[in-house]
Amino acid sequence: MKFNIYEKYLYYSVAYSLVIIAVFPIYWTFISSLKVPSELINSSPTFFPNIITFEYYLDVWNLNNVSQKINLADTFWNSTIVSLGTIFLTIVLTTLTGYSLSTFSFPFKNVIFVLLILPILVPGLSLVVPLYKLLKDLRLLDTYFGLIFIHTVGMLPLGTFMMRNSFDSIPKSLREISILEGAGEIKIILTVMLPLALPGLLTVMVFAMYQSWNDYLMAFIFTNKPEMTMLNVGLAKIARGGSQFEMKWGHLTAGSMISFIPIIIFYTFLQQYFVRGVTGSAVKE
Amino acid sequence: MKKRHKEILLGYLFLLPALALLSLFFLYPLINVFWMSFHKWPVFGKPKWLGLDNFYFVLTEPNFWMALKFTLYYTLTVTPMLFIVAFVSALICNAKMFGTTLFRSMYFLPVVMSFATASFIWIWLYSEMYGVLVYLIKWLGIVQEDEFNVFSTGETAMWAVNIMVTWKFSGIQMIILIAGMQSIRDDFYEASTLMGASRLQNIIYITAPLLKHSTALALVISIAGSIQAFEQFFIMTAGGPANQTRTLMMLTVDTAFDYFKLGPASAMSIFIMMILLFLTVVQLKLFRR
Amino acid sequence: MMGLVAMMSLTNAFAEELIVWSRGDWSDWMVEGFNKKMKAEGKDIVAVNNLIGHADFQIKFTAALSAGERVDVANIDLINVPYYAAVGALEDMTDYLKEQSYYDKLNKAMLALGTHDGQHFAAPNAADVSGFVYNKKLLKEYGFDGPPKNYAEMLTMCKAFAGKDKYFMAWPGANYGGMIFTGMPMGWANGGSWVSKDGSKAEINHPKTREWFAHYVEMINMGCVPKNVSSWQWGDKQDAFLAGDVAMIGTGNFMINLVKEHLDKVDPGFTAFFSKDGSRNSAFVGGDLIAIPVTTGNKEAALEYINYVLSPEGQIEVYTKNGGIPIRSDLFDNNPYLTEEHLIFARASSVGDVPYTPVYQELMDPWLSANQRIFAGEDIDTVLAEENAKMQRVIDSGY
Repeated sequence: MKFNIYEKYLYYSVAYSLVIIAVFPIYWTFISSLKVPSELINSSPTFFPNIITFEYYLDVWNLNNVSQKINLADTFWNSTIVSLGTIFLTIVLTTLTGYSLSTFSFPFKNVIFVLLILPILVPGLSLVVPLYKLLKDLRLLDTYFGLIFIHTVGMLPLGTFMMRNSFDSIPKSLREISILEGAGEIKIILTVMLPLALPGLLTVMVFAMYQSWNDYLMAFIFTNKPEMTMLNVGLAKIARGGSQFEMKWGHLTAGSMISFIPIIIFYTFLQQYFVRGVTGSAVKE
Repeated sequence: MKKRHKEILLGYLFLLPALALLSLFFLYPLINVFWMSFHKWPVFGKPKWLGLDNFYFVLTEPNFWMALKFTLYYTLTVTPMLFIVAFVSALICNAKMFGTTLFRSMYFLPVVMSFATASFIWIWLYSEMYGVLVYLIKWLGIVQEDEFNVFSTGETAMWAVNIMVTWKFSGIQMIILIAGMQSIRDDFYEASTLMGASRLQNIIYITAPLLKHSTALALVISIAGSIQAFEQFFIMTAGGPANQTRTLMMLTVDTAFDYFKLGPASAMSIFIMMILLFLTVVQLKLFRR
Repeated sequence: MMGLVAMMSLTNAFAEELIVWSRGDWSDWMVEGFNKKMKAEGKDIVAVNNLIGHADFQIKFTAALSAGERVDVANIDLINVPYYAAVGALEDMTDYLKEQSYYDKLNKAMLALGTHDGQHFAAPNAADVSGFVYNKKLLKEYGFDGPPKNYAEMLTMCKAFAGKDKYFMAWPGANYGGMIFTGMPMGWANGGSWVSKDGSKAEINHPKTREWFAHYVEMINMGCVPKNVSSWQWGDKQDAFLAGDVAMIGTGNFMINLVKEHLDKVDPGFTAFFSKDGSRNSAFVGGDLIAIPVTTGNKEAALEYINYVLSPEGQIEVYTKNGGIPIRSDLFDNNPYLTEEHLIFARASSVGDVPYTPVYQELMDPWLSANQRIFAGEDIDTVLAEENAKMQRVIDSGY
């Protein structure tokens, strides 16, 4: 449907306004990371630094601000590992469960489905005290796996729901044909179902990454050793400085920019794939 | 093996890994929390059976009702904000116009920022004397007084956090809605336009109704998240002023880790779960129609 | 990176590992210094530091304790120690402490918090002491050569600042921690009290405490303090001072180093909190106590660590060198790192105070409410009576 001139005008003004709103805080973070302390803490803020300094970046990168054993790059790496692990495990588990709930029939199916959805009704923080003891007894404290497991459990409700729906929308006939051709279930999933369920799968992936990457509390509580610090926790430590009364704005903004750039790169690439996935491979009659 | 049996076996088998994880890292701690809620459970030392005492304690605690009221108020205000922004963003990204890829990337950017960063940045933006947003608000003349502190009243503090939360999380809701919109077939729109409908009418009568399931999903997630709100208020307002922005979860955490009352805290958690269960069931029933 | 982790655990595999949980940055150097000393003495102990940080230490420590996790040495925020001591989570170190030659030189206020039923369960470790910081430059601009020393002088200065560009004072009325750290000491200096010495009675309605509150309210009414100070956070007043907009604020000894980054706007001076007539000083002696949780795996090694922390080397070479105030009064003199400014805080710490109560955190609710209501203009006596009653109820319902 063609847009007329008024609609185009409205469309772009709204669209670009939203872009500015979305991007401004990030822009602000960026220029703040370059301002000298006196300009940073000032009642008349400037929209572009008068003097540019890289002192915060040098500090954050060279000094081990998070602790003496670890710097921001390491925390970034830790978070990435946990996020990737969560994504992988979530996809595997929710594909299996979503497929099972969609395709097979067996007793107690509804009960099990409800159980899998249950975590959404339970705030993770409530479980911290028993979870801590559990992880300690299983020696999963201070490990990547500990956090991966916890993050994945948090993704089970949404993941199962989405994957079940995705599989539901694929005609049963496709599966039956493949079985007649002699394919096993796993092969069917991998070659036929998943490609068709790609939009759902990608959504799950995005959510899993989002949930895991953004986690602050679980990462904080279940890791003690400095080497296992995650990104959010590390940034918070940098921001708060050593004393409990100090907020180090310069260091926080610089640290955030450093952690932000790789994400932007990763995200840009993911974007293209996502577009193709959602529009290209969706089932179109 | 009979086909029927094979199907049942496969059904359970596929479910096994997820159920194992769930049982160990979710059900087991959950049962523990239930158990704790019936005891006086000191941080160290022997627990004492209290029956339902903790529950009575929580229900008669004014702080609990204050936190509950606030949490509900917060949920009621932030949910439409999130949804409307997500919906409009989704519409923009779904249109066949130049630049949609760019727009989608930009709208999603705040989602990708680490949570710690976002919270601190917004505290910075809101800082009374040095925050750019406050500066702009005064410059635009919205506020006349010299001293304007966004966090001085519970009301303004909440709206300040609402804006930050909308900024950060609407992108993720947008994704759900986009996926839903993409599955609406183009011919619906074509047919409708041919019959003389305007763009707005298309949105109201085609897009919105067909998005029912995506909307339901987005709302359930959003509301569940809001009821459990913790981090945003913890970092930005610390529950202030005077605990006016202390959510249920924050009160639970305070009770457990600062007041060292693990029993009542567990009881609070159970109340939160009951509220969530109730709300979710209501939402699902509403959307079933 | 995994290889590095593996290597590190290998090197420690044969030494007795001591697990230390800390809150402050300096702890890394403390642990390093300790390990060097152990090596030099041929002792097979290696301490591993887990820097938890201030903000969320409680959540972690509580979870760890209830899970029975092994922690050998813990640096705990002193105001929480009475609770841990009361529930029996900490090891008794009465004998050890009493044996030390410096036993009576340890900071009394801090030591009291680690004491339960006459037994010591924690020792002073690191002190965060509060005091005033003032901007000499700004005061001079308004015609004053030095800081105020009593209430009368404060009022004179207040008049000079009233209605002008800059403020005389500001305080974080919306921050309970800030108010008890930098507000209540004025009450203590004046002879007032917050809770009774044994923590059994709430006493914020003490007449001498009231006097301090009334004095501060008077300054708000005179106009030299922001009208909405009841909603100011810690960061607000600190940022304002560092930008040169407020002449004097309550702060802690950390400010001595922090202000160095803002010397273009601020020419700093420090002084202790004082009573109405200026004859007595006080401070909030905050910080950490060091204790041995009962989940420890090696009490002897833990005591070795504590020994190091309390020794001249630990207190001077590590702690004071990094800007801290020693918790032993015999280490004030001949301490190469204690500047004049630090000594102000150090001396204040000897006459300072800190409330003893196992329900400290719960009392923060009524305390905050009292501060906000009073500074927002409500009648002082009504507020103090109501909030004190609330505090008493909390204390009575126990922990």
